[in-house]
Amino acid sequence: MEIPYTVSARSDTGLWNAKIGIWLFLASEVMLFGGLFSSYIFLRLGADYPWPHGELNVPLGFINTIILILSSVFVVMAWASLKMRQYGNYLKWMSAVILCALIFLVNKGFEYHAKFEHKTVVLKDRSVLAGHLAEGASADIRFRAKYATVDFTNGNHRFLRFIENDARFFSEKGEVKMERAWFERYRQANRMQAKADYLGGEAARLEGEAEEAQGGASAQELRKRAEAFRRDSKALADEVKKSYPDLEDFGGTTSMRFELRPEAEISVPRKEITAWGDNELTFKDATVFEGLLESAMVKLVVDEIDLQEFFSRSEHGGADRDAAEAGVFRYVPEVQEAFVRRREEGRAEFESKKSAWERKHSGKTFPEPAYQGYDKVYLDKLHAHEGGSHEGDEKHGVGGGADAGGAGGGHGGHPTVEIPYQDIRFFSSYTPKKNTYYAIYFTLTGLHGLHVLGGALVLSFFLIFGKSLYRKNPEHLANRVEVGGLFWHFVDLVWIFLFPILYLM
Amino acid sequence: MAETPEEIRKHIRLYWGVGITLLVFTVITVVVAKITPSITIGLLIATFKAGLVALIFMHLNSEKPMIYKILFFTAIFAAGLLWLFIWSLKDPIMR
Amino acid sequence: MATAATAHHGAGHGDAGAHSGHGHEIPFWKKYIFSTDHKVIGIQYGFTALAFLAVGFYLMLVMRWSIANPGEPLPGILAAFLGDRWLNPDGSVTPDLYNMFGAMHGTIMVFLGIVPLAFGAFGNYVTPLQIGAPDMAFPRVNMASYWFYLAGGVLMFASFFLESGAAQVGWTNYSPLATMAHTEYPSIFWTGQTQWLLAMVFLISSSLLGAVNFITTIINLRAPGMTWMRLPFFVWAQLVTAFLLLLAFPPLEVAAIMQLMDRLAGSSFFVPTGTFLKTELMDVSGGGSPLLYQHLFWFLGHPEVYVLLLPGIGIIAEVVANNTRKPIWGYRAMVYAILVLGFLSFIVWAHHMYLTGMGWFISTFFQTTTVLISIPSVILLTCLMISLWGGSIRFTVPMLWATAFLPMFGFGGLTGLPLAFNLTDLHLHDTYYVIGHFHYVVAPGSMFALFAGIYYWFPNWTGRQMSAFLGHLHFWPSLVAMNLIFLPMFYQGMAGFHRRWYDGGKFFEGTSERIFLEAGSWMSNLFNGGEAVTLRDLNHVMTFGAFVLAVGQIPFVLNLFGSIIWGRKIKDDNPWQATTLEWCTPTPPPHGNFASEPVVYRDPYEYSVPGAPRDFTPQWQPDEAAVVGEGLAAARPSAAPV
Repeated sequence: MEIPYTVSARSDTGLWNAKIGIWLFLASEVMLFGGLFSSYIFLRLGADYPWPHGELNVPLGFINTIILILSSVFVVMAWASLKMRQYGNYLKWMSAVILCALIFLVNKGFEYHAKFEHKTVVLKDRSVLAGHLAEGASADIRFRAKYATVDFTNGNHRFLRFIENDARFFSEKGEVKMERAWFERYRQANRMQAKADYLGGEAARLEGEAEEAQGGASAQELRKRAEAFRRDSKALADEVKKSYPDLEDFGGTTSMRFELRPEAEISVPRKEITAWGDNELTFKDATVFEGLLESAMVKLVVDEIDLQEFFSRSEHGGADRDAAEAGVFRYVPEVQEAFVRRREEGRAEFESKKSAWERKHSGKTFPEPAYQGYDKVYLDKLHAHEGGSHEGDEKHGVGGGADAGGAGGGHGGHPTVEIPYQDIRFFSSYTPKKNTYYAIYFTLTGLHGLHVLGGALVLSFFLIFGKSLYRKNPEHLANRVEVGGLFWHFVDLVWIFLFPILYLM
Repeated sequence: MAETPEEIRKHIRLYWGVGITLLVFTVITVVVAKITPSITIGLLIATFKAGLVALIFMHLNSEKPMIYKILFFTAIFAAGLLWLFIWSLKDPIMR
Repeated sequence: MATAATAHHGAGHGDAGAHSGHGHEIPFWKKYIFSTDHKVIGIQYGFTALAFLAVGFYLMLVMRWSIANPGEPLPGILAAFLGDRWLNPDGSVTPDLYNMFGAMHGTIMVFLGIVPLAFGAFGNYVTPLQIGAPDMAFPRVNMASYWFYLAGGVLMFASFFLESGAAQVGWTNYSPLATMAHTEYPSIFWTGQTQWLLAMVFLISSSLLGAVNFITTIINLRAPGMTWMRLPFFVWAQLVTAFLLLLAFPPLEVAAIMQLMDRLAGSSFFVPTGTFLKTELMDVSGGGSPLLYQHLFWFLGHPEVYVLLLPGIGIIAEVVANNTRKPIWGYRAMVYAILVLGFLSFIVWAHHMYLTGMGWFISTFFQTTTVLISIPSVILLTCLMISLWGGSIRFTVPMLWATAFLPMFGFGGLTGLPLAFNLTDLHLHDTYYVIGHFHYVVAPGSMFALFAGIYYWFPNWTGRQMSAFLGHLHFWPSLVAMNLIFLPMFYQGMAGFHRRWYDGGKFFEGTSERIFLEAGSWMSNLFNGGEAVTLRDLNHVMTFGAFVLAVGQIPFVLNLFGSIIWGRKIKDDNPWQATTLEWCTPTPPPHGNFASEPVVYRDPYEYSVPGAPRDFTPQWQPDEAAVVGEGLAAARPSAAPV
């Protein structure tokens, strides 16, 4: 018996198999994206930080929306061409769909790349500097180490991957090859030794009991057992000595100090480090390097100042904090005055708007809660603002001094600053790490991108290998394209929601 | 929905019309977002656009009852997921 | 047939002929390994799942043993598989090992054992046969579903051998603990905790593919005359199960993806602001919510409970109808009940989360729905109970399991009621009471039903009967041992024994040394030489039960493999004299299942119809009137041109 209803519809349900299949699959997709959208709302309503607005590239998102909508139309056209048995038109429309998918993905790539390159630095007082790493600079902590004290208790060798040159480890007895196998051997030997010690302890305990029993059959029995333990313990200890002659000296120690030849060049992300000083670097796995700290700071070309979190933390005084005292101005003092004045102006404007509105609608409160618009500024905008409203006036400090290239600032308006890690609470790119908004943004658009890719692959398959099926049974190919098209429309439909909730709102 | 080539030919204008409507509303939603940060309006426009895609492009305007049944229950569970999540967030035991 | 026989020169004559019924040669690897035949896939699922059940069982034995004997060296037979990496120097179980086994026992039993056996194996093998379909609607998707499952399973199992060991934070994998766990290892990707998530993504994908396939098959591939109300109850159960998997699994996939992001990309979906790891502030932005993870997890988690259970109830319905020789009592009521059950199971999930501090309003909502869902469950159980009434019951081996299932499942269900109410749940949450409750549903519940299914459909698969003697030897120890293991848990749980105590309550003398049996009472005289039995002593009873259960499975393994070769051959294709369609195929069913398209003339359980020549009237047996009349022509859906 062959499987029925693969092409033609069953009369009582009116459906062929793949049609039911794809709708069921789409139902599960609805739940998948439903779960993600619910998470988005959950995170947004529960966020304890100001939810970001307008940080994404709207023109790019807009273009991608247009492209997906067009591709949706094209896929319908491809299907309709097949239904009308115009194979040539089908090829044209379907190629257009694939092209749209590719453009969409390339655009996405540009968008992601820009976000990966963009950095944010949250200072200890929660004021934020954003920008790009200076040309050729790295945000890693750089250290030149002469000695290393390695902790063996957890057998961790994660620190090895951050040593950039071929530094070798020497103990008093000679070189030790620092690699996973060595740690495994060491741990094995240590474990055996511990077991031998344990058995020895048991033997001693039993001997003690035998003493107390003072002769008699039970004492004899105890001694016999103790002897057996003693034997096992010694056998194990001997085995350790025999199997691991090179580790003899380490047995039982938990850490060991090595000299490094040549000096190790270490370049490591801040998150791997628990503490550092001018001459010491401690890894999370308790490995300690001694030597010279070369750099522990972020060299940033600043393009944005964000004090929203600075003002939103009520435990520090909230909105009443003095803007001028924000830590960021230690690094970009030249914009302090302009920022503070602009913020005052903005707040005054907001207050007057609010009171005017409340006079008009007596008894009601102004719908917009508190004004935060000027708590976050792009330096470009600040320059433009200064240039605009104070045209002809003396320039108020903004980008002042030698490197300011006039209003609008150009590159000169983006000062390069060095921020030591002592002053940094949190450092991240504009990646999922930055906050839950970027996390859900990347998860949603990433999954959606995977759907685009998957859909494009399936449709390409129909495009390239469709001819033989078309010759055999054109209706079958039309059905397949319809199913693929349904999936494609769904992907479009998801994007129709993604665009406003991520880019616009 | 089992259409003959003639019927499909008639529908092609409709498909282009829907496509253009979608493009227009994409522009509108961007413009509206510039004027007001209203989430409601943005979501209404998105829902309208999504409805067009689902009804016309995905042929949900003339589908078989079995598909409607499946989607009906999916919609209920998705809505349940959404509302109960928010509800539990808005109703903690302490405030 | 003829070509096959000549090609083989008569080697393995009868069997080979039956297998390749439609003539041309299929190479071995295509027939049994990369097969698209639903029966072969079902059997692949079955054996893989049984293997994983054995692994999960072993984990349980280690845990049970160490609970009863904290700080004592593990006996050689259990320690043989472990090496000394995870044992203390004195040979006793380390807390890490205990946590790992606890987490993996749950994961393996639920996602790799019972669901694949109930849904993958029985669903695949039986469903198309019972509805009269030649195969599943999408055979290649079906194959992909199995291989996804196997990949997920292998990944999950392989994580035991990583440096970090397997996942350790419970089968629920709650964040932020799960986000932090194993982050100290050289590669966070190659840790058990991360691999757990990856494996789950595979398993979820497998379930989704399976669910799409099942629903499409049941909707579109029913044989002519197989109307909805003529479906065997097992098929209804599979249909509802498939919907649960289809719609409840995606949110868990979301949770798994988000947790992967948390672990690998440093995001903080489930990590609140100011979370410390050991003594240090975590290097994350914060702003996430652990509660979100729990919601996403339990949105799957609760329907999953019914995924474990419903196929079992379906099997029991088949077995009960067949062995009582009368129709299921209240077939329609059961169908509606199972549909309502499926619906309600989506909106009760937060009763697992009463302790997260939800307000009275939302908590009342979930208490109400939870109590509501007990109504359809009770309808199902009651109908099956009443079905026994007045039947001339044949106590075959499958029927033994089925009769044991009914009270055991009832026990599990009723003990769930106190957990449905916020007030009592606050006391019982995370105690052994909960463990006892859901194990009664799943272990002597679902597992018994699955055993019944294996004994019941074995002749269809092999053409041989399983030994009834070994079947009894399997059943009775299992029944006694299951109760020995799980009954004491209720007493311990109500006394406050926490489910994650790895020393079995040794260091909690306030509760664990309370007297369970008074010294000198007749029970203590009987079992403990007249000495008092404390609650903690019950651990020994349970561990004893666990080992009895282990021994009790030996006859089953012998029976299963032995009967393939030595089992008594059945004389008839319908050895149980059943009415459903899977018994009208040749035995074993060839590729394509039916010699000719079956036609269904009647309801599924027409046993003991008054006036009928035999005490069963199969679904495929024509009615004299229907053959000549128009009823059949109307029932047969013809392929309509599009």
